[in-house]
Amino acid sequence: MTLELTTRTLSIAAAVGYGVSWILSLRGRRGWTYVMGLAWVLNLMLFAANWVAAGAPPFGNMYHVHVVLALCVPLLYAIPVRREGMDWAGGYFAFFAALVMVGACFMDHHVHWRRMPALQSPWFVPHVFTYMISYGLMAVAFVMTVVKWCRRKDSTMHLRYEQAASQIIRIGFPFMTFGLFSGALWAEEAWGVYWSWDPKETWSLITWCGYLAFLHCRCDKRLRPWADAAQLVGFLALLWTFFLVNLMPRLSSVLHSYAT
Amino acid sequence: MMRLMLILLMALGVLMAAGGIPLEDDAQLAVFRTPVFIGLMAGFGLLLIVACARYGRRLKRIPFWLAHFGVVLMLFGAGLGYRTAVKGNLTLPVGGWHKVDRAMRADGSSMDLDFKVSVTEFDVVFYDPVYRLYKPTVAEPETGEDYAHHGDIAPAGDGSLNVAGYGPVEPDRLRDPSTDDWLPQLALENGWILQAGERTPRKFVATVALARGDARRTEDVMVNHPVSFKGWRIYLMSYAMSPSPHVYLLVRRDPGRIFVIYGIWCVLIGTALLCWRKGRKGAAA
Repeated sequence: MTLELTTRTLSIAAAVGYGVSWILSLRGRRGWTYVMGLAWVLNLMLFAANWVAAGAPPFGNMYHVHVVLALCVPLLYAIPVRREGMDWAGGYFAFFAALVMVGACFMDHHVHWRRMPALQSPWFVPHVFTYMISYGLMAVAFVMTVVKWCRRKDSTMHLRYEQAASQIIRIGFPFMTFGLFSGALWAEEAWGVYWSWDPKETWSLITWCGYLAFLHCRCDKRLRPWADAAQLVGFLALLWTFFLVNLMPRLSSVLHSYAT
Repeated sequence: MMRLMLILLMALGVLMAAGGIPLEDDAQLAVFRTPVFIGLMAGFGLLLIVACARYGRRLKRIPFWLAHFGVVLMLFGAGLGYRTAVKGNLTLPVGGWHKVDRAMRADGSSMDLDFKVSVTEFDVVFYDPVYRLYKPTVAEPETGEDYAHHGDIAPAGDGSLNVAGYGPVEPDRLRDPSTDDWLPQLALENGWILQAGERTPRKFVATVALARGDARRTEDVMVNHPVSFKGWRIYLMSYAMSPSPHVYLLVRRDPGRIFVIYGIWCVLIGTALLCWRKGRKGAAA
């Protein structure tokens, strides 16, 4: 009970911290990075509490995965800042981290999760972790694309958001590729089959194809107008893979049933 | 050509979406075995080969080659496996006396194996049970319906249970003194009941004896740790303890496996190099 109370308190505190950081960044206040840092530390403590409760890396259910996803997002902010000098984009990362943590607050905190034998594999942590990194980046890129749609087409801001979203997807796509194919290698070791067209697998492949189409559209000037449509398809498929396949009983994935 | 590739990708995506809408009887899976879907996949592979051939062979194009040819290798391996791989299930009693050289295919037919297999030992280790706490809803409860579930409690590191509103339940009270196993149920003095939930296996290991001609081997096989023997891969799928202990194995021989594995690594390395290579720094700044 005490552990559950601790995890609930930490979830709420981290969500509030990320939210405050987002608002501060919108208003151009300098302290937003410190607030995001503090929220991240709380998020890290929550991750540690989940690990202690589960006795294994806590990636076993939607609540665990949300906590990891929120933990990854502020760290990911460092990549576009370092590579592309996108320090202005921090608020979008804080917003997404807040959104994910709010989701975690409302979920059942299964603190007594037991890692079944099929999940005891060296692939388990890299498979989930890389997927979470890619999902975080794709979500931030999508928010930027939505902001771009709200700007005038010929404005500097429009171009800025378009390029930022494209760069973020380029960073995230190899993580998604690793998540997808490490899953296939793992499935071969666990069940003797790389691919079984399980709903979760199928929808994650559709998501990958959507982003693959986006990257190819960006390479060719004539196809560039279709890039947004490809990203939209990719992101909708991502949401379908992440939420609906797990949460809707009728769409439940047999091989990924532990992830609900 | 890229336009054609995208059209193919879109067509594949639509078919996959049709197959990814789960139905109770898995009828949608037929989509992935239709000649249209297989043909589109083959066409996709062919286009990738043409793209690789057109793109040139300079050193800096290695990432492009790895990413695209890796997919071709994967598709080739998967196709080879689809046509030639053999796979069967075995149900084996534990004890080693029952040697098997036939397996059951998914369609119910049997197939000969060119080796014999038996299970000499089997061991399963469980996690500590999580206890469900029930409190009576009436003053004098008589049946199970007079109790309400009030949360689950996992044993602490020392094996005790910390029941909120009652206090700690010592480890020796939760164990059966004769077998030292966890009690399925414990009634507390205040009328509350602790009931052990279903035990989750932590790990299970089968020791299999494999023999073909003079070649004999004994190996431990676990979930995620298959055993390779004379071109076969042997996987531990599940087990049952009643009416007598027996394990479920899967045996598979797939000549396409190696192509798929190399293809996957090529795609992973190629994609990372293509996407993460230094672009126009500060383009989005």
